[in-house]
Amino acid sequence: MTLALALRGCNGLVLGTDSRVTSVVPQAIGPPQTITSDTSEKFLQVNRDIGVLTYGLAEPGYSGISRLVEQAKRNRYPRYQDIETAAQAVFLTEFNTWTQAQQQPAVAAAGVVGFILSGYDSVLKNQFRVTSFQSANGFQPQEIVQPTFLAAQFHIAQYLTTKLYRQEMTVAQLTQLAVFLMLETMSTEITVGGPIQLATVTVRNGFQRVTEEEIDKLLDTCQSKVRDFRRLLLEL
Amino acid sequence: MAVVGVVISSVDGMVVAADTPPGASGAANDTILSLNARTVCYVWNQASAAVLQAFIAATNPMPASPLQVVQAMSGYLTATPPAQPPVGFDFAGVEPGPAGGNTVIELSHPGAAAGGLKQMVFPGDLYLGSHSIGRYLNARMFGAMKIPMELAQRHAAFVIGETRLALPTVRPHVAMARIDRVAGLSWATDADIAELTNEAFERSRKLWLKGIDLF
Repeated sequence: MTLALALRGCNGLVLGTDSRVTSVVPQAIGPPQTITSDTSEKFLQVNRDIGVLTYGLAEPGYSGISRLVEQAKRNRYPRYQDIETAAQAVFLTEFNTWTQAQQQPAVAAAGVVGFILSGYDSVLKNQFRVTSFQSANGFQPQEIVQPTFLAAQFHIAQYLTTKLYRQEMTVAQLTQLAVFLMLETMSTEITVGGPIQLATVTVRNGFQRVTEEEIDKLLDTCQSKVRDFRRLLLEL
Repeated sequence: MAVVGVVISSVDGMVVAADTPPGASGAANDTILSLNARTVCYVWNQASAAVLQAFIAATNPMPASPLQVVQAMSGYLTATPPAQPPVGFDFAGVEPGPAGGNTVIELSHPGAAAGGLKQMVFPGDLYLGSHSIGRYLNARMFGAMKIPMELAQRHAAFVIGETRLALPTVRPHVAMARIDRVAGLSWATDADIAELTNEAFERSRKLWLKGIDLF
């Protein structure tokens, strides 16, 4: 699994995922073994203002986002809506191709993979938009109107946003909150972990990947937030 | 069935709680069933409840010790494997006698077609939650600390209330079984639950208020 998130603030969006891939390997004797690696790229930039991220099954997830980026570059889609339409077809094709290549296609087709397309729609709506696509409903685009969207292993982060998120937060505050949500989820969920992948979307700067160096600084800043929140819980 | 449930071992017994609809607290709830004066079982789904009811009907007399109840249930499931869908049971109880320990054992069966019975024994001092929000809050607030039963009850109500904030499917009321080392099993009354949930609400609001300054 993964924690995937899109947070809306007063001046932009913050998108994020972890990097963990979890596989369950059947054993000749005894229960299946769970193996994790923190190597997954779940996050790509589509154009100046838009990014896409994935969660769930790693292989069709990565092929879905990378194929969408290729197609968007080739076709130079002008509008968010065009990318949204193309995304559904790409994700469906990649998922079907992957399931057919598996030893048990029917079993593989029951697996879960999802995508979040998100960015600034500068042509039609002049709004920050978030669209969810999930294998369970054939990757039908679902526009997310709520200010926060959390997917996959989302429960702890969802709980924490009820306490800590405010719609008037700035992108700078939201990047800190996103790192905090990741750290707190990683403390409990073994399927969420590894390097944090973050990006911001603002009108002025478009989609900007947060560098590893910046994430290291955010991790340092968040240590005091983690400590303070723990103190609040202990004082209840 | 309950969306969220907790089993908490305390110094002086155990607390088992779950969300429930209004008017279905105490023994009338659909998720925590009593086996004897010292043992309850948290069932995973409706199929599990039906299997447990059949076990209760087929077992007379019911053993007095929670451990013996689990052994009897284990034998029952092996002799009469349930059909699909999978079933699961978290047994929680306090062994008889002044020095009796806490017993928490999970039995699950993937269904006759898929294989055999799985048994997992949990240690004496534990928090076992069917949801990650409860596990997170417990790790942050108590870790492996031994807490008295009165505090365990407050914590159970708080955890269920906080999970409800993030998951609207959590039902609005709480059922809570208390197994005291001396007095045995009792169900929290509606008045007890009202007091616990009111207090949990106040703590939740306090956390929200103080969290405003964090970012």
